[in-house]
Amino acid sequence: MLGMIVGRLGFMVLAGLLLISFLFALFHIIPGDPAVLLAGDNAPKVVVDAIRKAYGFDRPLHVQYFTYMGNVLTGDFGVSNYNRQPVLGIVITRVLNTAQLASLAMLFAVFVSLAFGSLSAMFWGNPLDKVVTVASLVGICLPVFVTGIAMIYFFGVYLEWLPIAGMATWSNYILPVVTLGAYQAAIFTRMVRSCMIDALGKDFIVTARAKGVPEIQIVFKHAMRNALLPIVTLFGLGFGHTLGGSVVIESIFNWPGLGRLMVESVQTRDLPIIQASIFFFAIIFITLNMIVDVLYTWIDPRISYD
Amino acid sequence: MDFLRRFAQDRVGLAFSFVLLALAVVALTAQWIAPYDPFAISLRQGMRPPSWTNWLGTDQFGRDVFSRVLLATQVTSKIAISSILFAVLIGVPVGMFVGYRGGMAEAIVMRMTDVLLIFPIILLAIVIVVIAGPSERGVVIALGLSQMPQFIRITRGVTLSIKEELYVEAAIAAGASTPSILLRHIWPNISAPIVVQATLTLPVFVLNTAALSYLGLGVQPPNPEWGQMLNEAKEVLASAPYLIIGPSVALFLSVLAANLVGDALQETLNPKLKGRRLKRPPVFGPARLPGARETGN
Amino acid sequence: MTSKRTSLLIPAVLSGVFLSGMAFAQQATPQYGGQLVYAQSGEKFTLFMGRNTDQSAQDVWLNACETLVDMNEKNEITPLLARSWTVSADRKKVTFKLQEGVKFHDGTPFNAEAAAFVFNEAKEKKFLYISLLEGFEKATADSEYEMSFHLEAPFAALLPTLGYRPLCIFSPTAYKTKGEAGLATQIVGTGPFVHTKYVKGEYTLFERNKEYWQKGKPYLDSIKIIIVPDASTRTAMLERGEIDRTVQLGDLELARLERNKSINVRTVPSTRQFYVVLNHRIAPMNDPKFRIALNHAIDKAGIVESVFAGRGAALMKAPTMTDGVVAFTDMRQPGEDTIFPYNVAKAKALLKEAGYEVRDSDGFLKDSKGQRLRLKLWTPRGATKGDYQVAQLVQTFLTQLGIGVDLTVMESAAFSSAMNQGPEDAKYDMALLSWGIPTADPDQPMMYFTHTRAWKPVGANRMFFSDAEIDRIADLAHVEIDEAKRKEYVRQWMARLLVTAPVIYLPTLNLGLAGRTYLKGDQILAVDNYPAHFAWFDKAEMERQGVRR
Repeated sequence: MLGMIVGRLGFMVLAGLLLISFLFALFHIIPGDPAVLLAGDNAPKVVVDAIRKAYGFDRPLHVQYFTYMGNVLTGDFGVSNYNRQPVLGIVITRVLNTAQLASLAMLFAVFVSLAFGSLSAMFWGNPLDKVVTVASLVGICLPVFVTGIAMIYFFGVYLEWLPIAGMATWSNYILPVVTLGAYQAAIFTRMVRSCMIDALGKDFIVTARAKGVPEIQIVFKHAMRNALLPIVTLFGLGFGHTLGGSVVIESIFNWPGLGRLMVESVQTRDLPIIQASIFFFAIIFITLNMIVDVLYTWIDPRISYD
Repeated sequence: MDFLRRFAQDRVGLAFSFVLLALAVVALTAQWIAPYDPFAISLRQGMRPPSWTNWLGTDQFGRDVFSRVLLATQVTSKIAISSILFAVLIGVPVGMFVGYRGGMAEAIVMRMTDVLLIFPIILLAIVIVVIAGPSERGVVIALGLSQMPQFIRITRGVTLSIKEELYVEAAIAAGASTPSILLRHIWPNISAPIVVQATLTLPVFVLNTAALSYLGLGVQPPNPEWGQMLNEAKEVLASAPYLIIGPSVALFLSVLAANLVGDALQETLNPKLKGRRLKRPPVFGPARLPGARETGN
Repeated sequence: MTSKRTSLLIPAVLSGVFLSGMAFAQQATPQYGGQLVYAQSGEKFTLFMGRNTDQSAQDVWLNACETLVDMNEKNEITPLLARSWTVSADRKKVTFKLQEGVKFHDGTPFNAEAAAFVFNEAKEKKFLYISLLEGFEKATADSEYEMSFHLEAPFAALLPTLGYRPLCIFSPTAYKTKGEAGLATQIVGTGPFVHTKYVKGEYTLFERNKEYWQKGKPYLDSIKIIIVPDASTRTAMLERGEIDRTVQLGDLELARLERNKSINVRTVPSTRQFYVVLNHRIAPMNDPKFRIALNHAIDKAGIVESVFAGRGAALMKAPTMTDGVVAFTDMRQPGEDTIFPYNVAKAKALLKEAGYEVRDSDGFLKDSKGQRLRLKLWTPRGATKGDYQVAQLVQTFLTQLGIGVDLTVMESAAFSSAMNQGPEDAKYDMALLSWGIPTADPDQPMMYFTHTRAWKPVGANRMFFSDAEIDRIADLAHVEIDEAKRKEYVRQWMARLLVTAPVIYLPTLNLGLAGRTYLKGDQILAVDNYPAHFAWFDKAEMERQGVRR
């Protein structure tokens, strides 16, 4: 187990550095030149050249690359191409903002889906099950930008109960967390339901029932434990998606998160920011996967990583 | 035959398989059944709410939204189905194999999926577009690649737990070959989560197609596509909410149908599961099992 | 779901109606206090004026950094840091008398030395705007408050150019100690507000400059400029009162907001005109007849009606030039509402003269050898309001003539890059762009758009268009100080453009600004600026609308 964790940490750093190198190469291959973007559409060549010189874009690629990588190894992720602020500070603030949003949304989604998914499985075929199934289907089919704007207009503009944008107070969290969480909850509920139905059909459940174990205990102890493996996988993946896919939510609720920063930086080709964002994104993601794998062995002791 | 009879007993599944069939027919015949030319503009007839002549209203350019939704069915389903096939056909065998074999191959593949998963789809799409140029094919590759790790991970997760089951160990002890174990013992357990995952992936693909079209990497105008239409409708959502009805309903209907038919298929295709379920007594009060008579007690 | 939501909106609109009586208050005396929250759609690049020409940054700078001269809502040049100016007999020297007793926010004095330093440094370090100051040789401090501009040749557009916001005078002391990098996140000027905080991609905060040289101003305590990329969110925030004003809203949304009596919507014509660049190095686009045919093939009124809801753009009265530009002349034929009116028959006749006609039943335009005409059209999406939609319509209209048009929507940075290639490397046949004139002076398009010397990558002539007559007129106008003569040159230049049609001319954009009605005294300028540094709040009205700040 410990070996696995150490190995993963090593991999994490290696993968991060490889990603950074890959991005460096990628952004020098694809069209889009920061100097041209900065100079504006109608700028003459002398001006573009002046920017290249002033900002060091004209240095040979290998020099740029090795200087940058050397700095990264000492924990210096460089400065933004344009406003020359240290990238690390900007990215870490954004990472924390996104992590807050994603964790709360995940928490919401996990609770809702475990509750409704297992209830639905318990009442399999009953009206309650149908209601949950239909509700989760509706949830999946509604794009978050539609639900998001609907929430903004209903709770923000019409009822004036909740603030619309930003993250100034705790009440600012409600709309984005629920919008994002509800979408994930809809996805999870279906999976939880299907896994629980599967588990409830297993032979040991039949045996437990025959022995007269109370139904509640059967569902939430025996069956749930058995269904946890795929569910945990799904939650792990879901968290990653919530982190990366919250761009739309971040944009609608004007949440200063990592996703928005990344998209804006791709548009302006602010490479140091893109590199650092993806590096941290990678680290979070790999850590999450590691936690999922550790949970596997805890849930099902038969699985080992040695 | 037996399969068909059993499938026909699931009324919901049956009903929605007709919906799916209808969507397929629409997709195949969109050009001919559209009431108007989906490309014909009429600039002074733009932004009209739904009426008898234009059932879903007209868009900014005065094009008939209903006709465009019909044609978009074709474009969208082509992309979504190809992408899912791409992800499943590569993801599932790989996931099964590495989950079963373990060892170095598993470690390498799983780390690669980690990397693929952390790679934002927008960047992935930009790379592909630089190589292949903006096209529907590029979208299929980008979407397929983005979801393939999910299929690998889910397949592997289930395989991991199944291969520890006694009957699998018994089969190994009896000298069964790897392919036969994968096919006979592992696959039946995987098909259910894969079908669910595939149906769940459908709307994800449709929405991501939209995101890519938005960046100009996907479907090129004037071809309509649901996601792209949703995106355009979103910009004027508060002023012209009717524009979002067509693509939303089409999207909703197709996903709902895909899900319910998927469920029904899952139960029909897996007799072991079905038999077991039918044996299970209702928990609280009478349960109506698909295809079964009332078994209240 | 959606229809239910619409019905919910109606009470919100109705509740606004009851306030209507008070909405149009008389011009009252300004009241002090309050924080203005202004939402912009995006922030790009840097706060340092020398390295940014992005339009949205200008509204940020003008709060803290002032130019020598100002441009008002009528596009007139008025004194600001320069009180007055005189031009020498040979027109190569312009001397400015500067405001006295003005201090930068870092406490250092503003004087001729400081102003001269900024311009000399701009030339030395090639700040982005230096290309607009053509023929600028050097600036000298003649005395404490007298600074002279020395020019290599007379330059008619000097004053409007000096009013261009990036040319504001920042503190040389701050620049020398912090460097360009330091000023990339900090504005140190003489303006009515002191820049106190900057969070990248989130907001910029300004607080009242208590020692501002214009006594009694400004009125607000602080200004917070926030970045909200999503237009629907900005609209909702304005409706709720979370922000006081915003720009870059969709035209349909503006029409809806106009019905809300707590919101004041203003639209003005801009100096920005759409066009389709035609690559003249590719046949048949080197043929003026062909180009004029394309110009007549586009239903401009239809574009204005559909893409811009009849309000976000206007038909063009002249090629490239708009009402707001200095020395403007209406170039439309009598009785016509636009240049190159929509006329398919005329377009077809001209195409036939150019050697292209529909020869078979397939409806495709072919040359004498039966070769089909297929052209690539590239467009960005969202670089300018409506660009992608306009491109789609151009495609449709040209397709109706029988021309095969492959439309490609490109990611904005990739598009910029693709459009920044010299004649040998340019890969486009046609591309949708817009030309804005930030100085509101015709010199800029004459020298950088159509001039042979301005072929990309030197200038911005992406057509690789060359016409001796056009170049000759532009060179004459460039040095002409006499307003009437210059106006005549500009007219001749435009007339020649109508004959040569280097591009497909498309409608002129209108700018929109939406703000709460309690906000008074803010402005909207044709050059895409929305100053609010001398705005103020009507407190009573604000209270009535339930907004606290």
